[in-house]
Amino acid sequence: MRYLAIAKREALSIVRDPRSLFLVVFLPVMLLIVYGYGVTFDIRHVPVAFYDQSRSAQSRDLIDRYLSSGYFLLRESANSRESLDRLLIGDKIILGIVIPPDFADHIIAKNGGEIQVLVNGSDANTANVAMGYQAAVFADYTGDIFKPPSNLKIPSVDLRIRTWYNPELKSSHFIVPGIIVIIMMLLGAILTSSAIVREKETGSIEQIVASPIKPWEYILGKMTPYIVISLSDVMLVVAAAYFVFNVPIRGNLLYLGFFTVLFLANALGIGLFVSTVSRTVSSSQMFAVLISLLPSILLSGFIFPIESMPRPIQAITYFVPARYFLVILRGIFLKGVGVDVLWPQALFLTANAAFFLTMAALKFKKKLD
Amino acid sequence: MIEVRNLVKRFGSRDALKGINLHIEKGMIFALVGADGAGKTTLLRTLAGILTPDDGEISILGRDIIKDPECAKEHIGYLSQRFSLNPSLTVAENIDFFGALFQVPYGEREKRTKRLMEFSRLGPFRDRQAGKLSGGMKQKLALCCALIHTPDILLLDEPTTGVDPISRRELWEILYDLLGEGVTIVVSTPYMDEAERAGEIMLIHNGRAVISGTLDQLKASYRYFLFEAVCDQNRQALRLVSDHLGKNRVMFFGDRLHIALNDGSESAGIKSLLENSGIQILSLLKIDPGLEDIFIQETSGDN
Repeated sequence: MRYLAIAKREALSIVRDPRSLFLVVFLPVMLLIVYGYGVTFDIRHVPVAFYDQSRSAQSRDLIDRYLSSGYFLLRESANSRESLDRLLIGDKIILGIVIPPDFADHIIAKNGGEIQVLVNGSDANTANVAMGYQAAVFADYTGDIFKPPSNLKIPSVDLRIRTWYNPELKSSHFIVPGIIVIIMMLLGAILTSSAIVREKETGSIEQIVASPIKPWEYILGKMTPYIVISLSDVMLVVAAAYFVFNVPIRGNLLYLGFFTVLFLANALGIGLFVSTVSRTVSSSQMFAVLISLLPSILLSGFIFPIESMPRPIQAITYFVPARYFLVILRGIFLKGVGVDVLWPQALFLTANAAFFLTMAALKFKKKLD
Repeated sequence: MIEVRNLVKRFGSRDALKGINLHIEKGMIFALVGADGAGKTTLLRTLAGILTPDDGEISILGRDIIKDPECAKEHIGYLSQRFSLNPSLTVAENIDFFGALFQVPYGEREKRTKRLMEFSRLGPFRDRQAGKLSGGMKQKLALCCALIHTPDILLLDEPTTGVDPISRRELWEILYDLLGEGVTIVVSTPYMDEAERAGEIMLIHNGRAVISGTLDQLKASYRYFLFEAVCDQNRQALRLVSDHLGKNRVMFFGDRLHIALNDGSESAGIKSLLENSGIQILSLLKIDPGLEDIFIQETSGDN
């Protein structure tokens, strides 16, 4: 009953505050849409310039292949090495391709030939991806040009690559689940921490601790409305992922719900812990962002693969709940797997939730000093 | 009812309470009077069981609340100095929340809420959000919230600070009604005139209880003969008397001066001192000391 009183009071104050209602209901979906469109590793329309010294049918054919691939956008045709350099220095292009004067002769004679590719490495990520596209287009081109005559059979291994789970390699398919993880973590941690710290700031906590309420009744009561809100947010966000970004949901939605509750327990646990060590709402929010948002982005495997991190950093990632939920979401969305595969993640999430909630419960005292 | 022995509380290197002793009988109003920072709030918080003292004993209703801070909480109604109601909840919802917090059964809660509304005259505002109430009404609502579980002991931390005079009088009427029902009330206040309404008074200064007792007992402890003087040049008079007797022996009280004399016969000396300096005395009368005069007597040794 005391637990319900706290929960009801919290729910009423959320519902009656239009700003917080907006924050908890619409912000997650808005964030997903903004970041879902904004954050992509697919690089299209890589600006490129050619310095075509050959000016032949062959060189034009090569340029056409680049541009028709859809990955490259012709920025400008350079007519000297210097103008190509200027374009690179001015960050106007990522790739500058120099086709030498003797290119056509070599192609006709089928004895090799070469082109020069200058890459703007100031953005290493984009440069890498652009190089990859470039290499693919070029390999395609040389394959066609130097194709052995069809009557001549050369025995070779037939390499057929098939990408499972995300055949088109759309980065939105794995980025959107990552963004869901981050949004839920941020929301859960910030909402719960500010909910409790606000009571410290206004002083209303003093009346609560002077009552016979048990700490768990208070904590659970404060969390309940946010659990409900977060679960509905997950539904909204998953619906947006499905309908707006066409991310497939191949797995069971019930499993999704189960894992989401586990993950939210982590997010809320972190929020509670933050609230026990902060005195003002602004400091609690800073702290919550620091220990929930940043690790969820940087240490979860969302952007940087955990396997390539140094060992000590890898050890830290075990305490990043987003790491497990990311695997779970990608597993359920893209692979359609369930608890039979994801149980280790479920175990780690449970352990982490227990850890954070225990820490919070130990730090939470019904005292003012 | 409330028994406190040698209570000590430190915040870092600062001693907020330096050995307080208290004995409060059932069914009385006990006032804690002192300046800001004297230790009133700290004392009330330790009594409410939400601050752990560094030393000493507190027994409330015969229970040791230092060992088990929870054991007396359901019998205590505590109104903190910064009582903060949830501003988005209505008057009725705020009261109901505290009722539920103290596990008052639902039916009983309804009944008591109705009674509290009448008694505090908050009835017409029952569906108004707490954030939209005036200062005095907020304080009355806070009191209702602290009373919904009909506590045996009421701890009120400066309930009338920042409250208009009419609401203040109404609050005190409510306190007297509660007293009639046998509730023990401990109230802190920085206002001397307000403390005089209490059955027993304790003056707190720098974490120490300088004196306590009924108003009559406190008055009896006054060592001086108090005179009230009105002069045509009060400011000069104050300076002259203060140079003559000492800084803490003469004070402004509105347009009057209170002069503490060792002996009634000293008044003639004061009279000639003033008149010799060309100050005209409009009146010079012996009066009863008020709480403030006693407070000054008890604390002047410190400075």
